[in-house]
Amino acid sequence: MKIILILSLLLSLFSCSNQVIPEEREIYVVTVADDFYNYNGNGRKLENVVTDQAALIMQFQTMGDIHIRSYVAQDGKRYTSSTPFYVPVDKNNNELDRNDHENFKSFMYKPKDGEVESGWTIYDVMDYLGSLVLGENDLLVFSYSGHGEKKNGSLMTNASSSSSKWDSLSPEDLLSHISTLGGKKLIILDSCYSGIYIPSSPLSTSDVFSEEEKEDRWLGKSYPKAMKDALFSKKDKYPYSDIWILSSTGRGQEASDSLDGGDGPYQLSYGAFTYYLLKAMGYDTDRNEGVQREERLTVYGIYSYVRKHFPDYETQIQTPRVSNGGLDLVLR
Amino acid sequence: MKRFVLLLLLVVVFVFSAYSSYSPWALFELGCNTIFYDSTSWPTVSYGIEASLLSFSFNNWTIASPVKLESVTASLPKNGTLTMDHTKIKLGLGGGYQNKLLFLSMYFYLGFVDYRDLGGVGREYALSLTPGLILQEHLALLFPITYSFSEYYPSLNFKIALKMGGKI
Repeated sequence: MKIILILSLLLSLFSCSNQVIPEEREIYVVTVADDFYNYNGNGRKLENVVTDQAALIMQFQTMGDIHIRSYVAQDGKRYTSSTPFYVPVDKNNNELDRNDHENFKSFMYKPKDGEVESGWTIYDVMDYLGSLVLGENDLLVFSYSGHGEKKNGSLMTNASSSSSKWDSLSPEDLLSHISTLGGKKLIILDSCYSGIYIPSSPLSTSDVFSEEEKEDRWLGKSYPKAMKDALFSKKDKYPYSDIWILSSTGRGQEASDSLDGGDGPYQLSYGAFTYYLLKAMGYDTDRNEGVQREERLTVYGIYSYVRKHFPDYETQIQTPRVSNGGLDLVLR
Repeated sequence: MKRFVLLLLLVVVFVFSAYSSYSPWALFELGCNTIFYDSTSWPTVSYGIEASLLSFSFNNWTIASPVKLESVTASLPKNGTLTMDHTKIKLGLGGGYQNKLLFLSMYFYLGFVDYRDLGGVGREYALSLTPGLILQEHLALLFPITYSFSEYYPSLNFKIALKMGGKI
């Protein structure tokens, strides 16, 4: 009887929980979307990156007052805004009166009256990131929707509105730049080869996703090897303990700009990865609108949702990845 | 050196087992861990089962090589971060002493931390010191104190456990 009482007491102590997110936390959302309108035969225009950006901003806005900075390149126009405005349009870019209109094709950035192009480049984005002063408890979310270079996964943005050349931002440059900022950082990448941004984690081994394997059902085949590696491998300190990264692909994999998975009426309007990312965050993909949610949202929670719901056949093509620094990051 | 120590331990186990009685046991444990990370610490909860089919007793002494399956819940968050739910498989080696009233044991564990969803398996070592009380024959109330050296974060665990079986 005494034992049962002791156990009951312990259980009751453990069952209480605290809330958590620092009250004074400021959230900064910096998003980059480049549709590569001027790629001029070297690739193809990306149809859904602006919609992905708009939806991400809408969903983050449900988390309260946030600081937004959006860099959008759309149909050859390049805008920068802290109060971006997007409108639903049909396939002919005719503006619709509501987000869940049956002819909804995408969100389109709508410049304000008198707003002129900023002609931003990736260097402007880096300059802006470098200007941020983040407190210890603050959160920076950096998202990128666009092309990624095959050779090293670099983010690619058009060099200017009229140019067919592009600027590249390598994983090393991005991570080293962002790691100098304070606070916690979340990087969301929906681009080809973005898995290369996931640093090798000394905390876990036999990471099959980083070896260009597209099959991740490794419980039987690779688990013994993972245990053996865990036992004998030498490990260094994880380099980016305050950066979390969600990538749409593993290394050497391409990302799909859209996915005909039959999961919802507007799935084709979003990037394959971002569609499930948005759902994980609580965004209503059937109505194309952000939804305020109360349940806890963490980076690994998002990742688990995406991995669970991402169609198996698409996982063979692109395997979403997450960095593994040991701790999870609470977003909501 | 590692191989020599391992071989020596196996020899000890073998010799001990030849002159002892077979005494398998199992225990259930529930505890509170203190996680240490980035100059801060915070609590989490763990529970697990442990069993040793390879267990031999000689007079009041026992040596055993248990296997433990341990589940650790996500910890209470701090500064916007939290630990994750995860499971560990631990292989132990050690022994203990008990009389009619008291129990004391020490075990070393090699643990594999299962972060399969994230694409890998982590490694951890743990040292456990367990005082306890003999409640009845084949039933003991134990208070394991464990320090884990993990690549993720070290932790100090205080647990309460019920052990069944063992030395007759």
